[in-house]
Amino acid sequence: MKTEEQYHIDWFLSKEELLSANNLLALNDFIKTYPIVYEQWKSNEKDVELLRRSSFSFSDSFNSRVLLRMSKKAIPFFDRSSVLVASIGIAASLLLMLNLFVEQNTWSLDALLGIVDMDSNNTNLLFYINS
Amino acid sequence: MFKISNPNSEKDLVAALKRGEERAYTEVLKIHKKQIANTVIGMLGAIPEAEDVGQEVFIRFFRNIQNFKGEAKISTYLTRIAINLSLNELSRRKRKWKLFYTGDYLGEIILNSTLSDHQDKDERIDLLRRAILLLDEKYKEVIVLRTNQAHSFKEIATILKLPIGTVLTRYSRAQKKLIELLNQ
Repeated sequence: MKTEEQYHIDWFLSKEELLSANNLLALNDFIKTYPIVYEQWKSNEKDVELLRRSSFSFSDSFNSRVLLRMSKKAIPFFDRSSVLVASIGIAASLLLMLNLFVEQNTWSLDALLGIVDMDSNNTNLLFYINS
Repeated sequence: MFKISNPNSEKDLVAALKRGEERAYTEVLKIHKKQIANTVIGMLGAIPEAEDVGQEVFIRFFRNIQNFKGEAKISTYLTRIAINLSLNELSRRKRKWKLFYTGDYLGEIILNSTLSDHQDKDERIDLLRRAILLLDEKYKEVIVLRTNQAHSFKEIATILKLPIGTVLTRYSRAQKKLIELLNQ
């Protein structure tokens, strides 16, 4: 047994000629049995269709603003120069890391921070550089 | 120029867009501006951000034109972008509202929309427009597409990528909710 909502949906389908013959017959029976419901559907549809009588618009400058934005070339996040600078920076930090490991003769995290030789007599972070 | 009556006009238009011809951009704006305004303002209300969202719809379309395969019509594609960007804007507004205020979000929508300034002074239409803003997003998009642009249910299903049954169920419920709101 179909619900009222399903018949309502069938009614919309029938308006766009998408409803099968059998379902159309069933819909017609429902409408004959419940004319008040059918009147309500029609009234609701009429109300909502009022909206078609009005429309919205953007400002007059809308087109020119879109075209202006289109004329501005998008700046790529990674352009050539920034890739070059980033590559040099990464290479330099890798060299520095390597230097820290070699100077302190260990591969530990302490070596990366330059504090392998740090003790109570030597609390200077730059000790290994000065030594 | 691109003649709308010419069956190949859309293909020609897309080809010109892909070549970056400015007259093609202008033509798309000329043909589809009204439709996008109806969708975006229908979804968001007549707020200043609606125009920004409308611009973003066209910018996104133009910038991604190389990926446009022509499987859907330009109008369908643009409307889909407009619905998605409008939904994003609605979420952003809701988040912002929750973050900074404790009042009623729906009340804010009604107060801030300037629908009474709209050219059409019909009170019933004005009330309907305000009531649409109170609907859940899933109902709102169906009602807006159906009423503002007179899309068929099949077209709405294509735009929203939903089965037609789902579209019809949402439309039926949206209609009932709208009438309930009007009668409150």
